[in-house]
Order: sequence, then C-alpha cells, then structure tokens
Amino acid sequence: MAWMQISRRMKLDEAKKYVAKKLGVDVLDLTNEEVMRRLREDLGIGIITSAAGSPKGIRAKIKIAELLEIPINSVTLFNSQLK
Amino acid sequence: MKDKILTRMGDGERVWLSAAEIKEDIAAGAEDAARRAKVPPLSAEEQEQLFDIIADPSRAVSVSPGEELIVTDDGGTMSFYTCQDGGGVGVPLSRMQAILVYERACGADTTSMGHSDYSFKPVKPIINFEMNEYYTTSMMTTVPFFYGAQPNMGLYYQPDGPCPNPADLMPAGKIKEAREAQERAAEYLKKDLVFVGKKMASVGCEGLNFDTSGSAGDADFLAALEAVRELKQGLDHMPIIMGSANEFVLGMHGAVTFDGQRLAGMYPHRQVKVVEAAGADVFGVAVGTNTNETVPWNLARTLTYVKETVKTANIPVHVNVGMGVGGVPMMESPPLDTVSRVSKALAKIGKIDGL
Repeated sequence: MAWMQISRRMKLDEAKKYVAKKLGVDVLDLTNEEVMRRLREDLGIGIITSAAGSPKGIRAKIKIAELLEIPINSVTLFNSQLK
Repeated sequence: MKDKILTRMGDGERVWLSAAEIKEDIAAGAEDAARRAKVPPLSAEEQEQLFDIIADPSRAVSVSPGEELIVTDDGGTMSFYTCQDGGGVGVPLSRMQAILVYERACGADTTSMGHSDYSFKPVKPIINFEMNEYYTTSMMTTVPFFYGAQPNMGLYYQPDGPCPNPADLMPAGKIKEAREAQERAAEYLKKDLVFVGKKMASVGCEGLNFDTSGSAGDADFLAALEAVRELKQGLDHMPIIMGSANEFVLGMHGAVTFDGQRLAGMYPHRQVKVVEAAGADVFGVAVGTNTNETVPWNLARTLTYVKETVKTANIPVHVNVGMGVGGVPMMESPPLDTVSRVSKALAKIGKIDGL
C-alpha cells in the first residue's frame, strides 16, 4: 500500500483496494498473516522470516514493481545494469 | 479513583479525570483548533467517539482488522543506534543493520536513512558516502526506502552559515535586513535540497522525505516547496514526502509566497494544498503538543486540524505522532497508552492515510 501511496498518490482505501485486486485477495486479508505468508512466498515478493534462497531485497522489489505496475527507482537502476 | 479515567498531561504525567472533565477538555481542544484555523470543530458524535477511545480501560488500544494504517518515519532507524539526544537506545548497529532490523524484525511498512545530524546541509560534503550507503542498502531492503532529513534553514545563518542571523537583526529593528537574510538562506537551502535529491536519484533512491519543513519559518517552508517542484519537474519519477514543522507556518519572514499564497500563518488544511501543488506525494501534518493541557485536549485539537486537512487533500496525509506532536506527550519515551490512543483516534476519526 505504501508503494501505491508514494508512486500514485493513492489515498489509503484506494491503495488497499488496488493492491488487494492485484494480489487476488480481499482487503481484509492484506493484514491476515495466515493468508499473506503463503501468498508472499508464492509471488516471490519477500516473506518476513529469512528462508535461504527465497527472494528478498532487490529481487523481491523487481517482482513488486511488476505486480503493482509501478516504477521503483532502485529496480529501474538495477534492471538498466543488466542490459 | 473510582469513576475516574486514567489519562495523561501533555508532558506525560498521569492524571485521573472524571468523564465530565475529559469531555470538557475534548470540547475545549477542538474549539481551540477550530478558532485558530477557522475550520469546523469536531461534531458531538466525533467527540463522543474520541471520549470512548480515551476512556477505554485497556492499556493499549487498536483499530479493527482492515483499518490498519501505513507508517512512514523520520529517521526512525536512527533510534536503534543513536543516544538519548536522538531518542536512541544505543545499540551498536550500523545504519544498514538498523534499517534491516526495523524492516524485518519490526515489520515496518517503509524505512529510511539519513545523516546523523538529520539536516540536508551537512550531507553535501559527504554526498558520495551517503549515495554509496543508500545504494548498497537499497539492494537489501524490500519495503519503500526513503532518504530523509530536515531542510533546517537555521544552519545557513551565522555563526554556522554564511547569512546574517535574523535572530540578531530583528531585535535590532533591522527587519528589511532580516528578511533579506532569510531570502538568501532559502536560496542556499533550496539549492542543497535539489543537489542532494538529484544525487540520490542517480543511485536509484526510492523516495525523499523533506521532514519538519518550515522549522526556521516561512522562508524555510518556501525553500522546501520550491525544491520539491524543481525535483519533480527535473526527474522522471521521485516520490517525495513533505512534512511540516508546526500546525501553522511560522511567519519569521512574513511576506514570502508560493504560487501567490502567503505562507506565514498557514494551517495544515491550507499547507497541504501548496504541498500538493509543489508536487509532493505525501503530506506530513505536525501539530505541537501543549504540555500544560491534557492528552484529551491535545488530541481533540490535533483531530480538528487533521480532519479538515484530510478532507481537503488530494494526496495521502500522514500525521506526525512522535515525541511532543499530534497529541503524544512531550517526553523521550512516549507512553504506549497514549501513542495507541492517538493512533486509533487519528485512524477512526481523522480518517488519515498513515502515521
């Protein structure tokens, strides 16, 4: 939701609805650890605990930028260096 | 203490008040803000809702599932490794370690990094160090990662800076000279804000936070607004949070304008419109806590300003709830009972987008 607030100036309710739609869950589940743990792992957008080999940091942000269809400057720079 | 409710004064002292006393303070705080900012006071229903939040017997209170807020911070990660002066707990962590602990162990929504002086001016001579550390850390973080500091125009005045000090000039009756000094300092400040912003953008900075804008008055606020506009126009994509220093812009200069609007004396519901026009993405409201009044009084006052600001804003509004702002008592360890009540009230009644 924070990414949507800062990238598209979305107010909180709009940001929650946008992210929930992109993730395919209800707004209420955005803060449901039981749902989000598995979903975050499946989508590769970073999980709270540290699991060896699972995406975190810039790798997770690449997925977040794709999923939410927003520019993230660190990702844009990183991707430009891969070319 | 039967039939009394435990709350606090603005300096953190615990006080037992009757329901009638709390309701009276809520009404008085709301009225104070309404009178000053010329905005509607809290309705009777909102005042009752606020009373219920304050009178809740639980130590900590919270919102219902689905009503959670986003939290941004102003150098919050510095609290891990700095000392008492910065509200820090002195754990020997590097900046990167503190940022990652905050993100992963505290489950932060966003995180940030800044110079230990938390001002932009001292960043300039060490900009390459800051860029390097930001870049390295940004490879590790997952949540939005800001580079932040205060514009802090006071650093451009003698003896710390190049401009004559208005605090010396004004008591001597040199009003014109004091204004010229502020205008010159604002130019220096704007230049530095843009310089640091562009440099950070070159290493993939995900967002800037111009925190406590206007701390040295209206010319300070103007410099931040102009820097936001210049950065927004000059860069493809740079999210910016601009937070204010006080519920009204201090008229140290008194005559500076942005888009034709005089900044001095501007309250939050009008501040947000110039911040929005400058191009910032999030506005941070700051309302000072009066230590001589109770938390119910201070919180009602904050809510009155905030409610109108959120109603007026087209961008997300995050409210400052640190030490001595937003109704939180002025003390180095803000009590959980108060912080949670302030947060809940701002979410439920203020309808804010974040803290």
